[in-house]
Amino acid sequence: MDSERLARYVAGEADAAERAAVERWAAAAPANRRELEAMQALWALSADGPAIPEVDVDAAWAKLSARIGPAERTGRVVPLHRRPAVRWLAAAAVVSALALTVLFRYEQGAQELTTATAYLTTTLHDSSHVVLSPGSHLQARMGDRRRVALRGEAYFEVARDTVRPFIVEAGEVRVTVLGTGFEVIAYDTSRVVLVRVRHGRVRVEADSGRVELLAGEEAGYDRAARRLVRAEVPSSVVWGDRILQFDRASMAQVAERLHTLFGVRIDLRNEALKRCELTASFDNEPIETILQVISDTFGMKVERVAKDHFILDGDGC
Amino acid sequence: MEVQRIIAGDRQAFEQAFRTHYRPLCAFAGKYVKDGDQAEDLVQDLFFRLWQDRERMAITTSLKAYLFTAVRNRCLNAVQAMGRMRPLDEDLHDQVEEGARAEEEHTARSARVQAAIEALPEERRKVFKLSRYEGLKYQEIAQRLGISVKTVENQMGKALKTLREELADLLPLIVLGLVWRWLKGGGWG
Repeated sequence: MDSERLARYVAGEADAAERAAVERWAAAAPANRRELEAMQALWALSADGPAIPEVDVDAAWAKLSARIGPAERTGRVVPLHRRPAVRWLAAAAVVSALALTVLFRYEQGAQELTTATAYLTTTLHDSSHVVLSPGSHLQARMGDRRRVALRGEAYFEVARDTVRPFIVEAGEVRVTVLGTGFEVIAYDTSRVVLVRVRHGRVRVEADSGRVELLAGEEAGYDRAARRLVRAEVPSSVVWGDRILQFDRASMAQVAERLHTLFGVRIDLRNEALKRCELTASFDNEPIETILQVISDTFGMKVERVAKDHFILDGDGC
Repeated sequence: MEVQRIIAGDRQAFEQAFRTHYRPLCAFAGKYVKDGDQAEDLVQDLFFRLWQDRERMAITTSLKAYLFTAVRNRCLNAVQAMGRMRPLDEDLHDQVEEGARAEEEHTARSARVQAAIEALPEERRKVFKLSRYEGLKYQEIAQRLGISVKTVENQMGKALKTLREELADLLPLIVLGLVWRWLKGGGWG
């Protein structure tokens, strides 16, 4: 039954004949009855009207806009791989945006990278890979030691070189690497400098001490308290801009993460699916592959109901 | 990437987020604080802080999930600050706690419902509210908004469909509640 007829029914707009038709339909199958009950429940649920009058969004924005002051920098926003179909177009747009916003300077092995509104993925002179997040700045000097100064956020995949250590300096924090993938988050204005290890091993030093981190660990340096503390990496992490990692993350968290990254909507057909905990990592995979892997893991079915809307179904965990 | 753009200082992304979430957030907050100006102030302040402290934000969920959680916490704090009487008698205290919990659940539910309604596209929202809260007939809604009855039907159908999907997790509970009432009362009454 289409939702217009059900809406007429619950809104009291249907005449006697139509009401009877809807009730016959509902009596014909349990699924129909549930459908009708859900609509009636929804109608009942919305019985309490709004508590406050509607707001004026334009006026509210004007007020907030005045409060936060004039725009500091306005860049064109380039949509990054929102949908697979426009990926090439997006890639072309990103390249042109980078041409405007990224400054490369090569001098005796020195490199300087700056990003404004887009991610930058590049290879440093020692063959290490770096993904620089928007609004970040990185300077690299590859001499006897490989030294990188970072302001902002970056993910590194460091090329192995036992003779020349790879050192990242992020404010008060120094990270010495022994061939590994890790992330440093150190914005000028942020209170905490964060180092997070995906694989391998790093040493983090600050004025108050040092810690060694293994895969799946992170350390935070509190600038105000001058304290370095070790912590667990959260259960759902994005490395760089495209490497996704889940460690016993609930399906609800997974769906949420995929929603923010890919702009797709993922519905779980029943509650039991939410209990499934995913441990997996995806390196630059398209959303279709990711969902396939997840559904294989838990014996679920993936149904694509629209271009950017998926439904997962199954017995759950 | 919405969150990262805001953290990076992209004001357009910030404005977009504000325009998308402001109305639903205010309706949501309104259910807790029951005062339009206070609800708006609270949401305004949250967005102001979000922009000011954007580099310090450790948002691991979606922006939407973060905003609603933050608004709820602010509301609970505001309501708490207004004070609630606590009786000394322990039995009475338990009863009051029980009542307060039920009330909190009710508030949380209707806050989510109102937020979902306010997130509907403009025409759909108006149609739904005129039908549900002003009790207008489709014909009257069509006249009021200067649209056809067919459009009203269409928008009502879509509104209910969207709300049903958006509030799916609240519905099974309510259905159970209705069935129970039906069993007790011997019919829909």
